[in-house]
Amino acid sequence: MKEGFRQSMAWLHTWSGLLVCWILLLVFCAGTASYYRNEITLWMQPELHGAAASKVTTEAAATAAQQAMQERAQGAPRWFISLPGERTPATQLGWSKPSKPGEKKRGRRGNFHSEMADPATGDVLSKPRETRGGEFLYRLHFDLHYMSAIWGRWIVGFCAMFMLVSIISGIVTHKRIFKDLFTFRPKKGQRSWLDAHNVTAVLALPYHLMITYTGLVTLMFLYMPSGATAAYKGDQDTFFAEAFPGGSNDRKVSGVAAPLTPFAPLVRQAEQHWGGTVERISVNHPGDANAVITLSRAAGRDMSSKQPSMDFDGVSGKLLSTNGDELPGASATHGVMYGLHIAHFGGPLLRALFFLSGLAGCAMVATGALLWAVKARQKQAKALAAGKRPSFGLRLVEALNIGSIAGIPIAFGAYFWANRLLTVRMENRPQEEIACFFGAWALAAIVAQLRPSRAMWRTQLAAGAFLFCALPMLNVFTTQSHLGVTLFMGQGPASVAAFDLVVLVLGMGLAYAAYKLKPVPAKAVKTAAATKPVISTMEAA
Amino acid sequence: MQAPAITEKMPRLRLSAAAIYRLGVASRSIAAIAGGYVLAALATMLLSVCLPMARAEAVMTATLLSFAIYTCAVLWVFATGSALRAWLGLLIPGAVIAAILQWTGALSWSLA
Amino acid sequence: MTDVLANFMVFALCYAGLSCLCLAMDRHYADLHGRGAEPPPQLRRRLQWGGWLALAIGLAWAMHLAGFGYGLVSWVGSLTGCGLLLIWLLPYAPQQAMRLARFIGAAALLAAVLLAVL
Repeated sequence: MKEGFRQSMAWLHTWSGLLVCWILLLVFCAGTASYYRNEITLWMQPELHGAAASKVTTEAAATAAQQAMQERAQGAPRWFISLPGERTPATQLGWSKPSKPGEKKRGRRGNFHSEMADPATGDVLSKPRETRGGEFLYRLHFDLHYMSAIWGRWIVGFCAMFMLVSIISGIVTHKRIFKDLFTFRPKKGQRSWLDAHNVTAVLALPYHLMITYTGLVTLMFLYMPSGATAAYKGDQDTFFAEAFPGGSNDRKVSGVAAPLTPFAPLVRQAEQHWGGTVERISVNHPGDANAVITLSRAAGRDMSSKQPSMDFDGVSGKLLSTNGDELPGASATHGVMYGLHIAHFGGPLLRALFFLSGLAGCAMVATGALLWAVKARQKQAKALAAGKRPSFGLRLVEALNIGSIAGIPIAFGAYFWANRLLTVRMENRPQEEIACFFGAWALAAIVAQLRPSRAMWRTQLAAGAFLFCALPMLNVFTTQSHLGVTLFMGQGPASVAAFDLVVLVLGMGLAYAAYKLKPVPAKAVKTAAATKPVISTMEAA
Repeated sequence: MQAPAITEKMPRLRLSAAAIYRLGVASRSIAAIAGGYVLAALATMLLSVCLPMARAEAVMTATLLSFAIYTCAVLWVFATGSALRAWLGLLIPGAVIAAILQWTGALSWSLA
Repeated sequence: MTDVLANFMVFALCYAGLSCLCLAMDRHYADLHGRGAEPPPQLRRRLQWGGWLALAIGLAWAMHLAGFGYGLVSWVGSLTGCGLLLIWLLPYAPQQAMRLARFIGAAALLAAVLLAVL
């Protein structure tokens, strides 16, 4: 580029942003929703809403879980227990099924049984409808779907690098980044889109930078394995063992039966040692003399994602080792970066702020794409007024914009509606719900490609608005835990009520956007690119 | 934007200014995406081997920094004066790093 | 209760700080006082000093509440939230933005008193 530095960075910013913005929008929407993935999963399993009320200490929950496992997981070589915490109201019990002699090894999923249990009594909770719930959205934002996870991660990583380049080049090219910080001039056409893009980008800039870089860091050993291969001459296993020290208390089955020591005193000891709560208990060879019990700490308020764990002898309860209490510098940094991305450390207020910043991120991506389309339309204004058709690029971008900015909310809406409307005992239910997500999105995208007009924007935004706003109403007809119960009678889980309310607010935002796009009188069409900006539209992910 | 075709006695490949521009962009894009990655990977290898800390720590630090290195390389490729300079700016440091790694015996061709 | 009050203080200080800094800008001063109006230089200086001071105190308070790392992150989050709120209000309803600022100021004083007492 023979132009100056700023111009070349502006060029780079535009193209590195535009080429991947539609995938990035999906990643941002799904990722932002993931901050509340446990709550979303709970919302999607109305059968569990009753049990979500009981509050027990971790000791009591561990004891109840131990009893339940002794009864139901006879002969299982490994136990996994997730105790209820801030985000999950029920205890999760899991065990690997003992292999019968002569039986072929089933796939990983076939070998594992998991269920939800009441934290106080250990009783199995009535089998809720099968759903991937919030986990689907969480996985979607880095594994994508309908392809192998590795492919998905490479594609998302590629887009994330583009995004990182886009952010940095955007900062470099923005001359008056601080002066323009609070500049928003509505109703000025292209200027307003630019302002909206700048505002959503710059006001949450620390967040955007953090989330993109830490996102790459979470999968950095996939994307950049060369460091490990160089220093360890290809021996990745040794590297991982040294970098992520776990308990090296892997003992083989001894064949001698011995009763498992009760969990409660171990939980007490661990919690005292850490000053935090126990979240996960796993047992190797329960009921055997060589059993090992591993307790892992729940995410506290320190930002590292790496939680320390403690290994105990399964029969005597003696402490075998504490792992991960003190981490060396780079490992700790890695932990903090990972932790910042998944944000498990966040209390309710901080999580809400992260969610808001994530929505700003969606808005940033959407306004960027819209700005490009508006600018391109302006460049072609003369030709268009003379009756020519828009260029291939412009038409494609406009259609993709509708298909994703309006289409993704439709997809989310369809997913939640499917959860309520599909028959509860259905074959492959989780996959069917996901199929609804993608089916609705595909329909919106294809229809948008056929006719990318202002009317199409209005229609799709209105469809999204309907799907979101009517969801709480749908709850009244399909569940016992609708807003009438959860909010007005103050009974049901608070998170379920919050979900209904948030979805309502987002739907109203979409409706407002659709309203703002009502048909313009003929004379206004002549002046190029006089689209009314609606910042609230972009808040609706 | 069509530049006038160059006419000479011998038939010559006629490239318009627009085509030259596009070739330049394509060249830089490949340099940035592929070349930038290779340079970042080589730099990561060098740091992993050279940083004065425990092996696992060095690898961790180097890998954490790799994306910043990659980003800087990409920005440089598009900021610099010509596509040729972009390629040279990647190849020369890359070759130097590779040579150092080869000399210390740590060059590993399996980047995956 | 004290938790909520303490967190509210961080938010209030961020909003106050950002409002001051905005008012010190020609564009937003004009939003309030009519097109072309500029803040007199002394007022501008005072607003800028006050704004940065409020932000700094907000950061210190957040760190005092929740430790260095968490405090920093929650302060940045608060800034983002306040910023988005301000940018929404200022172009469309500058008077409301300032009314909100006065309201938050009063509430913050009340919160501070309550915190000291409880």
